[in-house]
Order: sequence, then C-alpha cells, then structure tokens
Amino acid sequence: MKTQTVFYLSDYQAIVYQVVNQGLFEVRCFPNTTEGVAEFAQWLPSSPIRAYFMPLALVVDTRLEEYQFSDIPHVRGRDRRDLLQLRLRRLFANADYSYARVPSRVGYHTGQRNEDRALLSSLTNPDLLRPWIAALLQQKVSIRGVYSLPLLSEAFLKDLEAPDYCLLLSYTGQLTSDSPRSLRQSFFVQRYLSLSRLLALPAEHGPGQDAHSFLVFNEILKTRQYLRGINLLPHTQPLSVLVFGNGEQLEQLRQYFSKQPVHDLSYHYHEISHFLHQQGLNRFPNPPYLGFLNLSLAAKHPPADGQYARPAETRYYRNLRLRRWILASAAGVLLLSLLSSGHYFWQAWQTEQARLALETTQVATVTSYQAAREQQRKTLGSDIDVLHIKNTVDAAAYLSKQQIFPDRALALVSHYLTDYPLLALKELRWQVERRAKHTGLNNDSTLSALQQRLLEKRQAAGGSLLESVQSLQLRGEIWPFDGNASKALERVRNLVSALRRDPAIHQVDEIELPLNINPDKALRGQIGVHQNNQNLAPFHLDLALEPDAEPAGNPYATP
Amino acid sequence: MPPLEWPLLRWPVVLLLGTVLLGSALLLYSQVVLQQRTAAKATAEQALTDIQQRYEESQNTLKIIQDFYPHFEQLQAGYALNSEKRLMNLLEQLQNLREELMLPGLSYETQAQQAYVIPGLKTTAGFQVYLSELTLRLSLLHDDDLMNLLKGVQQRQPAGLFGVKRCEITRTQPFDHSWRQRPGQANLEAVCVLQWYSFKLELKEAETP
Repeated sequence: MKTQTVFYLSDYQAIVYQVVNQGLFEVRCFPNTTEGVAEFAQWLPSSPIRAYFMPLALVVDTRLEEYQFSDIPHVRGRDRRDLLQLRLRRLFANADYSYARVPSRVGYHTGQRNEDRALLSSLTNPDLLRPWIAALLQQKVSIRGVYSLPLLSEAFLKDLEAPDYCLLLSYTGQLTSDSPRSLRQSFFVQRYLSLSRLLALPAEHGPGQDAHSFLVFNEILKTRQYLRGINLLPHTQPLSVLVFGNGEQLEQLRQYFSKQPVHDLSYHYHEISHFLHQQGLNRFPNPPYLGFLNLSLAAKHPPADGQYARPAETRYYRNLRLRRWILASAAGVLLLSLLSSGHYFWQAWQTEQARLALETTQVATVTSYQAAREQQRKTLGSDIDVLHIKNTVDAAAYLSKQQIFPDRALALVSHYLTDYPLLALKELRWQVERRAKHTGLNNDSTLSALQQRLLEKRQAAGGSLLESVQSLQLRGEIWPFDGNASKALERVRNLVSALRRDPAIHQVDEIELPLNINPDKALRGQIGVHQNNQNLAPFHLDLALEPDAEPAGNPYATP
Repeated sequence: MPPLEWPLLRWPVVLLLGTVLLGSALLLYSQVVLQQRTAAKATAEQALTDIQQRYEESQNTLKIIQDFYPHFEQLQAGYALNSEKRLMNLLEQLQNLREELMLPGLSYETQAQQAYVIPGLKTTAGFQVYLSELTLRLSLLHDDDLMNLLKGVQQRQPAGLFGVKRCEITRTQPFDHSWRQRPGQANLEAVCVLQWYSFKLELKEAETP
C-alpha cells in the first residue's frame, strides 16, 4: 500500500495529509503561527513522514499570490528559461518564491515577431513558507515541490469539459480566525490558469443563506468586471462559471443565480462529493472541499518542475531520487548478473548433461569395443596384421585367376593334327605371357609407377587390366614324305587354314614351309624321293591364341 | 545547485559497488564453470570419437577376419607363408608324382626368389609376394604324362599359387616307329618352367591394450 504525504499550507493553518490508495486522510493540523511551527518541528521526528523514503508535496493555498502576464519572444529551451528568470526578477525583485511558465496554447501571437504570453506568479509573503520549510529541511524531509493550489486545478478541467473562458468557484477551509470558510475564484483561459482570488467569507454569511448567495453573486460580477478590465476576458466572450458546492448550499446558489439572469454569464453546478468520487477520490475529510482533489493530485501526479520550490529546498528529494536510481541500478546490476550467470549456469548444466550422455555412450562403446577386440583376439590368436590377411587372400585370389596351364592349348593342337596324320611334330613349345592391355607390357613385375597408377585407375573403373596370351611353336615335318613338296605345302597350308578358322586362335604365322615360295628368299629343292628322306618337308608354325582377358570388375575378389 | 548529501548516499553507493562486485564475481564464476564444462564436453566428445573410430576399425577387422580368415588358414596350411616348407612340399609332391606316373626321369632346378609386385593390388607395408621359378626336366613316354604331372601338382598346391610359365616338348625318337623296339625308353623330353608364389608377412609388435 503506497502512502503519499501532502503538506497543505494556508494563511491560517498547516495540515499534514496522507493519500492512501483512493483516500485522503488528515494526519495533523497546526496553526500557521510561530507556536504552530514549533509544535510541528517537535512532532515531525515521530511523525509518519519518513524523511528518507517518503517525498512530500507542499501545497500553498494563500491570498498572497500574485499573477502577472508578460509577452516574451518565442524562444525555446535554455533561452526561454533565462528569459523567464529575467522577467521574474524584474517583476518580483525581492520575491523568494516565484514561478513562470508559458502555456502552450495561450497568448501565442503572430505579428512582426512571434511572441508567447507567459504567466508569472509569486508568493508575495515568503515568511508564510520559510519557517515550515526550514522545519522540514531540518529533518531532511524530501520536498518534492512547492505547488500552488489553484495551478493544480488545471489537471481536472478537461474532465469538466470546461469552455475556453471559465471561472471556477469553490469553497475552501478557514482563512482567518473569524472566517470559517473562504471562497476561491480561479479564472482559466483554454484550461490554463490566468488569475485566482481567495476571499474570506464572513461568519454570518455561511452557506445556505440568501446573503451569502448575494455576496458570491456580487463577487462573480466583480471578477468578471475585472477580467474584462484587464482584457483577460474579451467583451465578446461569455463567462462560464463552474460552481462547486455541497447539497443545500449548492441548491441555494442555483436558485439565487437563476433569479439573477445575466446575459454573458452561464452557470454549471457540480456536487463536490460526487465530483471527487468521479475523480477517484473516495475517502476524504468532512466537509469536502474541491481543494482535496488538488492535494490528491499533488501527491499522486505532482508537476515535475516543482513550481515555487527552490533547488536548496528540493535537495533531499534529489538525493532521494539519486538513492532510488542507485538502488535501482544496483538491483538492475544484480538482476542482470543473476540472469546472465543463470544463463551460463543453465548452459553449463546442459553441457554437463550432454557430457554425461556422451560418457554413457562412450562406456557402452568401450564395452562393445573390448568385446570386439576379445573376439578378434580369440579368432585371430596371433600377431598377424589383419590387413595382411586380406592382402594374402586378395593376392591369392588374383594369382589364381592368372594361372593358365598348357592342357587346353595342347588339346587344341592335338585336335587339328589328328586330321593331318602326315604332319609329324618334332618339337612343341608353349608359353604364356601376361601383358597389360594397350600398353604392350609383358612383364608385370617391372611396371613403372606411372603404369601402376594407370592400372589402378583402370581397376577402379572396373575395366580389364591384363590379358594372358598363349603362344605355341610347332616344328615338324611331313612324314613320310613322298618328295612332292607342293603336296606337302598344300597339306601344311590346309592345316594353317583350319587353324586360322578356329576362333580360339588369334594368329598363325608360317615361319617355315615345305616349299618356300617367298619371293624374297631363294628356293632350293629336290625332285623325287631322296634316299635318307630326312628334313625335306619341314614346317614351323607360330600360333598365338586369343588372349584370355581377365574378367571385368575387381580381379582381386575373393573366390 | 546545492551539493549532494554524500552521507545519505553512502550506503546506496556501497550497495551498488557491492552489487557490481558480486554480480561480476557471479558472472565470472559462471563463465568459468561454463568453460570448464564445455572443455570437459569437448574432451568427452573427442574420447567418444576416438573410441568410436577404434570400434569401427575393430568391426572392420572382424569383418575382414570373418570374410578372409578361413581362406587365409587354407593358404597357411598349404605353406603359402613359408617358402622353405613350400619348396620342400613341392619337391616331395613331384617325387610322389614321378613314382605314381612312373616317369623315366625327372630333374629340377630352382632359381632365387624374386619380389613380385601384383599390378594394381594395393597392399599394406610389411606384406610381400615372392615369385620362385622351378625348371623341370622330364623324360616322358607320352605327352599325357606331362599333363598328368602338371595337374597333379596343381591339385596338391594351394589354389592359385602355382602356375606354368612355359613348356618345351621334344621328340627324342625318330618317326619310323623304331621306338617300339625299345619299350620303357623315353620318347619325349620336356622342359617346363613352373612358377610358384609365396607370401611374407611382417609380424606386428605387441599392441598395448
């Protein structure tokens, strides 16, 4: 529950109020006298006003407040402040408490130069305030500002939908010892205060009497006349009077004013209690005054500039604000560090969880690995590199595909020689050569590094790398030879033709024939049967069988 | 502007400084903790990667063992990895075959082993193939004897590790069928160059567990 403190100071008394939620409560009342100040100073240390933590708004409600208008050049910022201070010093040379402001919508002229109309006000009797403020500062109370009660009324005018020129008429508390009530008239132009008067009502003219109504009516007329006299209220503009009162008193005024019609005056009546409730102030002292709303506003939404307050008087409030800023900064730093470190701790926790999960996986993997190693050890049981095992098997598989035995070639030759019984073999040579395709290599153990790489590339491409070529040399003669070389030649030629037709035979070269008919060589022979019948019809054939290409794909695949 | 009331601000300022110090310390500590955890996680990740890699390697090894070891054992049993025993075994087989085939004569000559590079076969260091040649000189009654001899050796040798490079067969008798008057005498002479392969594996050093 937030409690705000308001110090109300009038010409007659000083009252300490506290605003709690939607209620205004009177704490203590002091007479505005030397004794009253002394009593206040004595009471203050034990009061509910907490100097360190509770800022206090001081609201002045006095007759001795003077208002002046002054036209100033239209400038902004620091220039405007300096200019206003200059005007204040000129108008209120000896005033300790003065205040100037430029309403944003009032007094804006367009002529040769733009000018603003500033409202300058001053509390003409500073002694009214000085002892009270001294007592407050002695206890280091944080004075938020010294506010003028009529100036605070601007805040709720918009809720009244007040016309541009209106006179706010409201009662306030005791002003003098012989005047139990007083009447405040505040004149607003476009909802900005231009003038305010406080009038002490005589005791015999209490509310609810015709004499009182007559007095109030006359004061309204006086004020209207004054406003028109100083050109604050143009003659063409009617004056709207916002009358605030309570019950029977308000009704008396309504009845009286209705009997006194004035063409440029219009009245708007407001029940104070009802209006206070409308403005959110539900509890307040009795009898209710409109000023209670000003006090509540001063506590809850005080103007930021402090109005009449001087810097020395608000130093504890600045201290309080600085303390609050420091404490907020400390809280912010602590919160930020807690959030940041919490974030890091959270990340660290997540990282730790991830690490634990990794370690769990690692333990499981180690177990599997050890089992695999054990199985490997049991199976292999030796210090042989397992890759050597693969190399050995691969190499054996490769070599097994390379081996060619002479049985097929010899069977082929035997098959053809069976058809030519006169062709007798004396010597047969068989050999196999392995060579790389298209390279002309025939000795695979002497491959250069480049050739080796080429072979590897071909292997990778799935191509056949090597081929085995079987060759046969057949040496023999026609036996028995009848001396007919042509016939012998024909027989050999028939064999050659038959061999060449065989798809398994790639090439047949005639190295030597019974009758050498090569035009590049000399021919020598004998007609008829020779006695010893030897080497007369020799032949020598070289055969190359079709190469046995290795199967495509990986030749090292395990069989 | 009046000066600030420092006595009133003392404790808030001290509190602010304390908060800044505390917050900074907290922040610093949390960052240190995070860095430690991150480093520990990185270490765990690295360890896991290592063990996973080793596990994968062990699985590959097991796969190799599963796929290749039976055949390797067969080769080992056929002395493919022991060239001395392999040669002794080959000669013993030749002797048995000569008796079995009743060959009139058989002599042999071995050459020095040579390192052999199988083209296109990638092997690891420490593995070497050796090629040996054996020249056989045979006296034959019939050319089938040579084929039977070669088939016999082929069947007794580890598959693929034995081959024939060349053979020369020469008739030793005239064509006039006079050999029929000398039964049991060799009619043919054959010279064959056989090739046999062996492997040498470099044993690895004992692994640390």
